[in-house]
Amino acid sequence: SSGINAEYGGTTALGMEDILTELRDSYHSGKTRSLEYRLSQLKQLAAMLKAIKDHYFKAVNSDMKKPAEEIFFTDLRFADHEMGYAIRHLEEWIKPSKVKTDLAFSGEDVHLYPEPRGVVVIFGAWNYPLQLTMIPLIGAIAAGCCAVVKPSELVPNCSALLAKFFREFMDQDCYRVVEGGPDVAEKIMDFRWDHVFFTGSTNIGKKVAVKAAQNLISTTLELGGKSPTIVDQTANVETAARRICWGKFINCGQICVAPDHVLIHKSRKSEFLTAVQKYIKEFFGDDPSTSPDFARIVNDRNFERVRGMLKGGNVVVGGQVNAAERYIAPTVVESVGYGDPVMQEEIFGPIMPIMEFDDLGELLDTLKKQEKPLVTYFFSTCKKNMALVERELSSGSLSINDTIQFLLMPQVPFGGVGNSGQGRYHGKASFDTFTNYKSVHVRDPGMEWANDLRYPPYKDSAFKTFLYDVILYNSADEFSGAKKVICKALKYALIAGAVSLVAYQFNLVSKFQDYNFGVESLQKIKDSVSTYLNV
Amino acid sequence: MSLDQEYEKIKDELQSSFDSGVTLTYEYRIGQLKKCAAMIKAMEKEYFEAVQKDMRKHPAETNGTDLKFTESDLGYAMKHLKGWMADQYVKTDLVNKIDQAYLCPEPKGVIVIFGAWNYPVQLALSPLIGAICAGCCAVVKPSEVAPCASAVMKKYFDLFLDPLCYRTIEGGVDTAQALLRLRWDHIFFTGSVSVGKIVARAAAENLTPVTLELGGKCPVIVDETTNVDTAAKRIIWGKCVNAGQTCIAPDYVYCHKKLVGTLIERMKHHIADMYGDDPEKSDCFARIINKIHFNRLKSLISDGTVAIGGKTNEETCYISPTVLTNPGLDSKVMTDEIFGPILPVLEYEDIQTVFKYIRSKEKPLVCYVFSNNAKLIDEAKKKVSSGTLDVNDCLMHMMVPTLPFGGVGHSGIGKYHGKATFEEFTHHKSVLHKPIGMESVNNLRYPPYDAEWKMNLIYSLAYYKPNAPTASANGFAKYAVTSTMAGAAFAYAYAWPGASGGQ
Repeated sequence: SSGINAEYGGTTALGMEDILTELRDSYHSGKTRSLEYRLSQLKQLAAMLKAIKDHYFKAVNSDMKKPAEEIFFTDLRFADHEMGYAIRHLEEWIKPSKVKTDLAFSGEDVHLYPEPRGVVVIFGAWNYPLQLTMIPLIGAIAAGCCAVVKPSELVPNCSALLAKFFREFMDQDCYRVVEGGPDVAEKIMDFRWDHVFFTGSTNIGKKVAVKAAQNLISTTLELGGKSPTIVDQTANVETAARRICWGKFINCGQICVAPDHVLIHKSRKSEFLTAVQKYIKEFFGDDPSTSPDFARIVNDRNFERVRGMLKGGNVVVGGQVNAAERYIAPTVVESVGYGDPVMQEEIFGPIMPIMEFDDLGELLDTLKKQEKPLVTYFFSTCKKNMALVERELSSGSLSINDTIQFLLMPQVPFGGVGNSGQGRYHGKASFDTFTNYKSVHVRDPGMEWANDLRYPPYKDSAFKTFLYDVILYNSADEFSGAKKVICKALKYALIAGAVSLVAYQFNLVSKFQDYNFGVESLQKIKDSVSTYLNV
Repeated sequence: MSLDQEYEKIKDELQSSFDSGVTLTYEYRIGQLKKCAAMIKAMEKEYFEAVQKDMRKHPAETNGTDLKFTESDLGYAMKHLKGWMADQYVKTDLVNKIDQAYLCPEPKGVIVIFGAWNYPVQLALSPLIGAICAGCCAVVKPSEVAPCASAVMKKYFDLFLDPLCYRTIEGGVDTAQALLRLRWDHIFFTGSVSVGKIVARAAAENLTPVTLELGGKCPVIVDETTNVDTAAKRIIWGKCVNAGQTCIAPDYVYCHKKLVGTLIERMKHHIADMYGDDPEKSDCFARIINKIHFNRLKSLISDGTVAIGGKTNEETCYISPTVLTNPGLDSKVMTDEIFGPILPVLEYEDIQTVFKYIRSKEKPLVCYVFSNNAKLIDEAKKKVSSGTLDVNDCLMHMMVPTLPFGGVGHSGIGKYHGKATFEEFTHHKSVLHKPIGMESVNNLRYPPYDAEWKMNLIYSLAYYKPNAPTASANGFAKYAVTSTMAGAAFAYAYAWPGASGGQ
C-alpha cells in the first residue's frame, strides 16, 4: 500500500525506510543546525499546542475519561512549560563550552562542541499522550536532531490528532509522526537510528534495549517501578496524607511517578488512615464516581489487571469498581504483605496499599533488596533520617515531604536508575540526551620543537622524565619539599622568561625609562607599539 | 564449582561490601586511590618487562602512553575527588524558592570492567580509578590476549587493593561470557565493535547501563594549507606508537592532491628519523600482539600500492611502518579498522567529497584534521560526527583530563577520563526537599478543580511560557536594567548639585 493509514490519516511504518532516508538527507543538509531554525520549530510546536487544546481535551476524553484541568496542567501546559524553558535557554546550550587546560596545552583551543545525535526516534506512552512525546521532542529539536515520534496506539484518538496537527505545524522534512502498534514499533527498531527515546514499561523497555544493542544505538529509557512512600514517626502526617493522596490519585494513579505503596511507622498509622479518608472526601466528594475530577482506567486489560490487585489485605476506603466505565474508586488497603498481588508489580492505578514498619533501618534494608525505583518519597521532619534515606536508598529521584511536584522543575533532571530506566531528561537534560558533546582539541601547528620530548628514539634521560612529570602529567604524589619548590620555580621562570622575551622584542625597557607614567606616556607606548607592528 | 557459581559468589561478596557502605566515605576512596598510586610505582619494572614480552614495546613508550598516563589520570582524580563528591545545588524558580533542590552523586553499585590488551594497565586501571572515585565495588578482567601483562596486573591489584571491594579475574572468552551472564550495575568495556555488540546485548537483557569504548576507522584530513612536514611527523608518530595498535590511531589519510607526493616523502624521512633506516632493528618500534593479527595485517598490505615499508617477519610478528597509495575503496584495508602500522593514503581535490565519504561510513572515534584554514576546521566540526575532533595533532587530546574521551554511534557509547569517568559510575539522584509547612500555598493544585482563577494562578506562577524571551533578549534586558540603574546612580551622584555632600 501507499504507506498512508486511511483511518487515522497518519503515516504507517510501511514506508519506514523512505522516512529514515528523507530525514537523514534533511539532517545532512544542515538545516537543523542553526539557532534560528530550532527556535522557529519550537515556536511552531508551541503554536501547535495552542491550536490543539480543545481538540485534545475531546480526544483524551474519548480515550480515557479525565478532568480537563488535570489534562491542562499535567499534560498540555507541562509541555508548554518545558518549551518556555528551552526557548529561554537554547542560545546558551548550543554554545561550545571551553574546558580548562593544564600548562602543557595552555592557550590552545580546547572545547566541547554540542553536536546533534542525528535522526532519532521517540516512543510515547498512553498515560500522558502529549507531554511524554512532546517534552523529548523539544529536547530533540533543541539539540538539532531530526525525529520520528510514535505516540501510543492505546490512545488512538490522541495519536491520530497528534499526527494531523503535526503535519500542519511542523517541518515535515525533519519531524514526522508515525502511528501504529507493537508491530510498527518493532519495524521501527529494525532500522538504525542515532538515538532511541522510550517511555513505557520495564518489560518493553528491555525489548527496546536489546534491539537497540544489536545496532549499538544509544537509548534513553523512561520506565517505571514501585516508588515507595515512607512516612516516619516524626512526619507531619496530616500534610503527608494530603500530598500523598494528590500524587496517588491524579490521573487515576496512572502515572509512572505515582507513590506506589505507603510504608508508615506503626505509631502513626491510624492517624494517617483518618487523614487519608478525609482528603479523599475533600478531593472527590462522598462518591468519587460522580466527581468530575477523577479519571478512569485507560482500557479493559488494565482495568482487569488493577482489579486483580484488590485481592489480599483489608480495604479501608473505596474498593468499588464499575467495569462498564472502567472505574475503580480511590482505594486504600491495609495489612498488605510483600506476597500479595498488589506488591508484585507497579500498580499504575488508584490503589494505595499501606504497610507498617517499626524500625527505619530495618525497613531500608528490606527496600534495598527491591528493584531500584523511579522515585523514593520520604515524609519526615528529622534531618538525620532524611540523610539516612538519601544515603541508603538508590532511586532516580528522592522527593522529601512532597510527591510529584518535583517533575515541574526543569532544572532537576528526571529519570530512573537500574530497572526504572536509563538516561535523564527535562530542561537541559533533554537537550543533553540528544546531543553528542564532541571533544575538540585544536593544537598549534607550529612549535614542533616543543613536541620533541615525545618522539622516538627514546633515550633515557632524567631531564626528559622530569619535564614529562612537570608539564604533561598530573602527578599522583602530593608534591612536597624540594620538588614542589622546583616546580613552582620552573613555572615562574617560564612566565618570567616569556615576559622578558616580549619586553626585549618590543624594546620596552628603554622606552619606559624615557617616560613619566601618565596619560602622555601611555600614548607614547601605544604609538611605539603601533609603529613596531607597522614595521 | 563452575565458573558461574564462582563469579556469582564473588559478586555477592562485593555486593555485601557495597551494601555495608564502606565505599561511601571520602577517606576510604582517597585511601584506595593512594594505594593505586603506590601500586603503579611498585609494578613499574615488572610491568615493563611483561609488555616487552607480550609485544616488545620500549619501556619508555609503555611508561609514557600507559603507566604515566594512568598515573596522571589518578593524580587529577585525587586532586578533584572531594569536589566531585559534593551535592550540586540547582537554581530554583519563584514557586520553589523555599525548597532545596540538588543532585546527590550516588555510586551505581557493583560494576565490571573489561580491559583490552593494547594498553593493559591504562584501559583497566583508568576506569577502575573512576569506579573507586564514584564509590563502586568492581571486578576487573584484563585481556587474556596479553598474558604476561594480565598476570602482572592480577598480582599487583590483589596485593594493593582492598579485596573486599575490588577483584581481578583473569581468563578468556569463557570467563567473559560467565561474567556477562550476571547482573551488574554497570559494565565498562573496551574492545572491538563486534564484541561490543555482544556486551551491549547481554547488558540490555538486564537493563544494565554500559560504557563501550570501541574503535573504528579514524580519518585524517590533510588540507593544502597545512605545514606538510609537521603533519607528516605527527601522523607517523600517532600511527607508529604501539605499532599502530591504538584505538585512536590515525587509520587512513585523505590528503590534498597537491601535497600527496611531499607528504609521503616527509613521512619516509620521519620514519627514518624515529626508527632508523631499518625499523626492524630499532628497539623503539613494537611488534604485533599475535600471529592472528599479524596474518590479518599482512594480507592488508596487498590492498594498495606500497609506497613505504611493506616488510614483514612472521617469526617476530614484525610489520614495518607501511604507507599504501591507491587503496581499493572496497578492499579490507579501507573497510575494516586496521589496528596496525599500515597507513593508506588517498587523495582529494574537492574537500566535500571527503566529508561525504567519511559520513557514508560509521562514525569514527576521532577525526583528525591538519589545516591552517579556520573555515575548513569549522566545516569539519559541523559535518563530520565523531567522538573527538583533534586538529593539527594526533593522540594528544587524550592528555587533557578535562576533555571527555569516547565514541559516538559505532565507535562507542559513554565517555571517560577525568571527571567523566566518575560520572560514568555515578548516578546523580535528583533530590527535592520541600518544607512540610505552608500547605496553604499548595491548595491551588488539589482537586476539586472548581475555579478557573486557581488554574490561571498556577499557570502564571509555576510555568514557563513559550513566548518567553530568548537568552540574548533576556541578557539584553538585564543589561539594560543594570545600566539604567547605574546611569541613574551616576547622574544622582554627579549631576545633581549638592547630592555628593554640599559643595
